[in-house]
Amino acid sequence: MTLQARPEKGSGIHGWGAYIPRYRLPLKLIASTWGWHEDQYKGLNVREKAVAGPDEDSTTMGYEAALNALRRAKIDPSEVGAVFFGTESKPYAVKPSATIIAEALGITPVTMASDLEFACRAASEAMRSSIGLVSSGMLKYSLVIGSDTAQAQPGDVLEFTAASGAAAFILGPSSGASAVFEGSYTYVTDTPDFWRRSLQPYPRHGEGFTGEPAYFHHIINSVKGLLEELGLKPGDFDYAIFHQPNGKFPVRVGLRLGFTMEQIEPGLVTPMIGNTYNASALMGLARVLDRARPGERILVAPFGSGAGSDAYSLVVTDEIVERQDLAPKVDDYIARRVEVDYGFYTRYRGKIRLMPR
Amino acid sequence: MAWISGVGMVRINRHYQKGLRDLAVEAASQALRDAGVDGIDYVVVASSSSYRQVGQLDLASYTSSYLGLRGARSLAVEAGEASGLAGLLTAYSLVASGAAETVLLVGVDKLTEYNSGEAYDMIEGLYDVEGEGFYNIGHAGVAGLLMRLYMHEYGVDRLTMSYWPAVMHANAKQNPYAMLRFAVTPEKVASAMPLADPVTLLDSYPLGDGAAAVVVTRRPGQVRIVGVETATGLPSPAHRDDPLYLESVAEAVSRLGLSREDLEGIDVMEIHDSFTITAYMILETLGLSDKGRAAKDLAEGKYTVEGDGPVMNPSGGLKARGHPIGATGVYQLAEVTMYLRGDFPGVKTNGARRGMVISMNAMGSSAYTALLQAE
Repeated sequence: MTLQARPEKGSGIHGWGAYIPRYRLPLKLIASTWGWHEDQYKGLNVREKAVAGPDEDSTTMGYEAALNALRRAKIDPSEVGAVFFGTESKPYAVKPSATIIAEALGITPVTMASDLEFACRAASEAMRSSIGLVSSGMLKYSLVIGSDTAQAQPGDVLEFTAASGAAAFILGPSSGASAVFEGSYTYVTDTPDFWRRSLQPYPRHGEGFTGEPAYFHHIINSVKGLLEELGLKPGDFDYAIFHQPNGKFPVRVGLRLGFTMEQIEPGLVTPMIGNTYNASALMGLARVLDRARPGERILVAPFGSGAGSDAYSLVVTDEIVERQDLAPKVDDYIARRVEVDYGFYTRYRGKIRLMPR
Repeated sequence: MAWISGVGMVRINRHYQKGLRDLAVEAASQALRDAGVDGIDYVVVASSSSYRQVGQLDLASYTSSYLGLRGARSLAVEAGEASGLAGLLTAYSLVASGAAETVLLVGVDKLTEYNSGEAYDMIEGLYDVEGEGFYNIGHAGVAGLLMRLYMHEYGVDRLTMSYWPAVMHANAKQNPYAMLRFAVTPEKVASAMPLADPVTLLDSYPLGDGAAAVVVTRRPGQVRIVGVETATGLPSPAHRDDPLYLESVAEAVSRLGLSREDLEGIDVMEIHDSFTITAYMILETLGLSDKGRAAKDLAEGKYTVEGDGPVMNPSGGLKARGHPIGATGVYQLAEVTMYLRGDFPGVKTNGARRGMVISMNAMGSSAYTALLQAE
């Protein structure tokens, strides 16, 4: 076998799916609880955040999203040879979550399965690894899941955006794919902008340090690297999707890179549901795939603190059309909303510490 | 007699990639090039937070070594927010006494090494830890009490108070060394997030890192140091008969032998506007504005290039140029030197002959002033 100049071209996304819990906490309720001035959150361009219910966690949400992805891929679950679960809110610190989902979907036992951790970019690393696995022919289909019930210290600014949600993708050979990869690029450094140490309940962050040296530096470099390798320019894309910790950063980074609001807006979901961490940019990708037309070109650039960013270029195929209606769309989940108050959120997100029985 | 023969400044910012020494060397190298000197007798380093933020002691010797000034005499000066001018007093004394011919003064501080909480803990230490510190009032809290008193005593409304930050931001927008280079309206200042009501976020300075340097020499040049003076004040505004009067500032200025008329004849000043209220207190303490009038004077255009009175803070001041605590006084000196030389790359103060710096720590626990003149 001769190696193709770009192995990515041998792989594509067959099925995609999302899941967003129904509960929504408006940011103004967080602000009034903690006595924040509206200036503290108005600039974030996020209205409300999705909150997982009492019987949900990152595995249940990941399962739901993966089920939707399988429906669209129209494959037998047993054909999946790898299940990768990217999260920073694992229900178990030790014990894989990927196996829970793989078992529930009927993918076990002959499959790879593991959890990945790279803050918000773990699922994206899974996607790039899966491109290698499927384009090499080592396995036919890989399931990539990004899912988080993001934690934030009550009263910290992170609490405004830390939300819950999941996105999942079935990657497989380019033949029969809904969208084919054209290229991928990864840019990582040791940049401690956001972290949670072992046994700590909530993450810490470096305030302004999370912006320019972390988010912007890494995304700009991954996207520029990809465009240079592929010989493409921003105008060649129909959609541009970036990691969205809030509603303003993805717009700012997109405009700085030379993309337009018309390219950015369709993949922007954080203003409606908050930052779903590992599902953040991938939720945007799912929303774009829900509506994309054959021949359109998509740029997606997830980011994870610590820090790193991947950039992917995808071209949509004719196959996408018949798959778009095979499962609920991102907008269906966004529209399915029940507003809750801060008490609901603290009770069901485990913010109140109770004594053991 | 002493002259300032060279200046250097680093744009105040969150310099994540630069340490204390990188910043100090950048500013000092500029100043040495500008002065065109090669022999430095003393290196004086002004810094207030280096130990607390970075853990470095004896910063002066390490900075000197880093500059390649092997064997230079070096010493560090710490006087809180007034460290920069305390450094000038030291440099000026060395030159005027004949102990040195040329002194390099470097001001440097880094406030963004860790989360802002660390910086605010350090800033608490600028106030009397057994006074305000004991009550955990916070630096904005002190400003809040004074601003509330001022507005109540003199019947000034919040919007009128808000002109200082608006003018400072307009000035900083033109200053390439300033941290906050964007305009704000008085309305925005008044309605911004409260820090300590009525003080809002836009009444206060940003946290930033910076370094500035000046070369002080016995060799005659363009800008002469007419005098440097200082005075200590009561530790807290609560101890004063009039909490809004800065006795240390008044005393330092009077020690320079300057009357109110002399002050009115000064072309340009850089004053210590850590908060909006601090700026007005200084203007009224100096007698340039009548009590309760400073905000209204400014709203009517006084203290700007187009208006009456000395031009205040063409740099944008602590408010918008920025305030890397111990380095700020050296920025003020570098700026006033450039105004008098006519080569400041921001707001133009054409034909300025006499310039002054007013620096202080906290709410006047100490005050320093320097008078400079174009020769």
